[in-house]
Amino acid sequence: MIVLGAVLPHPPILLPEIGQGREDAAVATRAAYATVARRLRELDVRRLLMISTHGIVTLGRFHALKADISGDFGRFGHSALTFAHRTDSALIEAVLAAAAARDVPFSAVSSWERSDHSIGVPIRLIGEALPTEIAVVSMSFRSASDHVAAGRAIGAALARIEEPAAVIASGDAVHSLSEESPQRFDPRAAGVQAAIESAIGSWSVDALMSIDEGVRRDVDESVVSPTLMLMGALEGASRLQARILAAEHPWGVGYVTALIDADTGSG
Amino acid sequence: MSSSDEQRTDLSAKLRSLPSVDQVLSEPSLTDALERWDRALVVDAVRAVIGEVREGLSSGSDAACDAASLAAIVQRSLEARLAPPLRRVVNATGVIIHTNLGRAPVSDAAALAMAEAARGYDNLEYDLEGGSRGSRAQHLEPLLCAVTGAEAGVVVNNNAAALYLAVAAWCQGQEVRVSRGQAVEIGGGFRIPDVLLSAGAELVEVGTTNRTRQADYTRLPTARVAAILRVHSSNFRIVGFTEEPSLSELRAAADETRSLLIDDIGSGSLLETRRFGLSVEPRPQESVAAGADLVLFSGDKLLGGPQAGIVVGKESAVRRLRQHPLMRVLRPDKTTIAGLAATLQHYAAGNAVDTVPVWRMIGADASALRDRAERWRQGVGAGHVVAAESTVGGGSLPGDTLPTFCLSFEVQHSTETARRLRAREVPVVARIEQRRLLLDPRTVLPDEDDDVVSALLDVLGDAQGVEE
Repeated sequence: MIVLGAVLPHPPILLPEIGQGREDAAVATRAAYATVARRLRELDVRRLLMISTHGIVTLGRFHALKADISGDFGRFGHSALTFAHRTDSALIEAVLAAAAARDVPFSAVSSWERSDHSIGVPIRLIGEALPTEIAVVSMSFRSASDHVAAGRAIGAALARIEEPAAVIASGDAVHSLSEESPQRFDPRAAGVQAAIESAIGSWSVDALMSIDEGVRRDVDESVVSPTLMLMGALEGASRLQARILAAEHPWGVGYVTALIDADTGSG
Repeated sequence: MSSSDEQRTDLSAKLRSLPSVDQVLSEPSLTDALERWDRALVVDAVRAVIGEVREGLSSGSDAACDAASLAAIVQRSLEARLAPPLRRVVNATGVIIHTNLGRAPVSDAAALAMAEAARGYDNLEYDLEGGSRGSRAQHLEPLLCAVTGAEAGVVVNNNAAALYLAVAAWCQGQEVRVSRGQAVEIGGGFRIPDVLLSAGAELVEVGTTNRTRQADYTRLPTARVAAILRVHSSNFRIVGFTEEPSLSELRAAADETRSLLIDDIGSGSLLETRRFGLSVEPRPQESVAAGADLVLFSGDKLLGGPQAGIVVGKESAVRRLRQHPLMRVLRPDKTTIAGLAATLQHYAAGNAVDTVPVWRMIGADASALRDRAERWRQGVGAGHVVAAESTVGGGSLPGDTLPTFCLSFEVQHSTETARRLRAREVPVVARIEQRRLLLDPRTVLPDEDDDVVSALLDVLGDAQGVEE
């Protein structure tokens, strides 16, 4: 059963080794990470699935990593800064089976993007609070509703597990909030960012799906798809309380950290 | 034991457990590196990585420190530092003369000539008939004269060097008169006033930013004027209420001031650009015919050859450049001479449109481009073929576009997909337009279609790494 969900941004600059002090600009996000870690411990989470935005992302399928997780931050100039974690193969199998039963195109792969910082940053920051084995799956370029469906498959797989489980959606919001953004400034970015924060705060699938897909693309966001998967996973929870722990926009990028207390076991 | 004591003990244990240099060197993943590179370089790299990890551990990081992990880092570090820095890139941006991607790809004949020149001996500075020393400057002049109608010609490293040489040779300590609207920065921080100053000349701006007339060049006292310089505003246009004197009017002004007329046409084009639906790009043969003493243009833009600065003009004017001490500093190497000669031969033979890649790309038929994009789409099994626009680039023909068809992918976070295409062994550089990922067949060489399709399948396709 899922007892906890979280939405985590993943700027590598959050890591002190890369940030070299600049991570202080996202102090609320770092504090929120610590809150998520504490909650994982409090709830004694034994199984965890992380949804990646930078793993194997393709047009037609979702992917799950069968091999153990390993990578580095070489793309960000820190090749000696690595991350690794053991993979929860049983959970991967359960997700694949649930997906197959629902006709959700989900495939297992044995290799992954080495520079996948969407899992690397959380593992570096709160790795000690994670179960010893975790499952990693990726979003895809399929439609928003397909992401919800993929999430439902994840939820079904975890619902059969009696141990307390968590799902983390890793994603940054808009990348074009100001002239210092990694992408070109887009005047619509602030509106999209606000809409994303509102939709996550109210935990509304409809609100998140109503954000125009073209505009989402224009402002270069990557949090909606993994969050829709998380929403699908938590669908039907008997208890669900979402709260935004941090929403800040340093470096012209929007970061939302949210914690969702839930219970999908008795619904 | 206090917690700080425990931390110190833990750190000491971690540092002690670091593998030795020999242990890392004996990792199977470094076998290839040891065969490929000098052992001393590999050993140095191993020491550096161990040092980096030791430093990281001391500052609280828990970086991977087993021999296999360190060997993998060493391997990537060696690859990053020692692999050939220039890599073949598939240009799917639709920008034909892409300065960041090496500007113009040369023709097959030019590439072959350059390779032949590079791999063996030749008569670069040797008179085969007399068995004595020859001149490297002699090789290109007949071809340059043939295709431009000039009396003489000389080639240097690039067009900025050509301007520098012309000014240094003719204008040191004297005035160069330039229209105020042409005292410009032409890219990469290269400013005409700075070039003139550093070459020892004094810039005298005449006229106004938008309007300059012939009389503006002759109004001032003429005792110190060495040259009238016309600079083609390659990468921008001033439109509206504008006026510039024609080259023949400048010729008259130069005659009146008894000065040299230098025409820097930037890219220039030996072919008439209007026949391809583009704006007018100055042609060197027209400048020569209009009486310019020196005409300067680039080798690796619309000419479609290797990087070079080409000077053609009157023998009396070119001679001083040829004999100037700077010529030795700026002279081209044998591969450039070979490639440029082969390129010029295409123009001399009248088949440049079919043989020079830049012109093949400019002249590519839109329906043929649509067919190629459609073949890519079928190969990938995804995407949409959409109408779009290619550009000439390279600072030439600003604002001009050519109708094309691209394979388009409307994916979220398209910058990430573009990055993955660039991260491949043969990088594919696409362009992002309104966050759509666009791949333009116009600038993709004919034998690179498979590269594009396989890159897209690998990056966006659903079969990558799938086990079941």
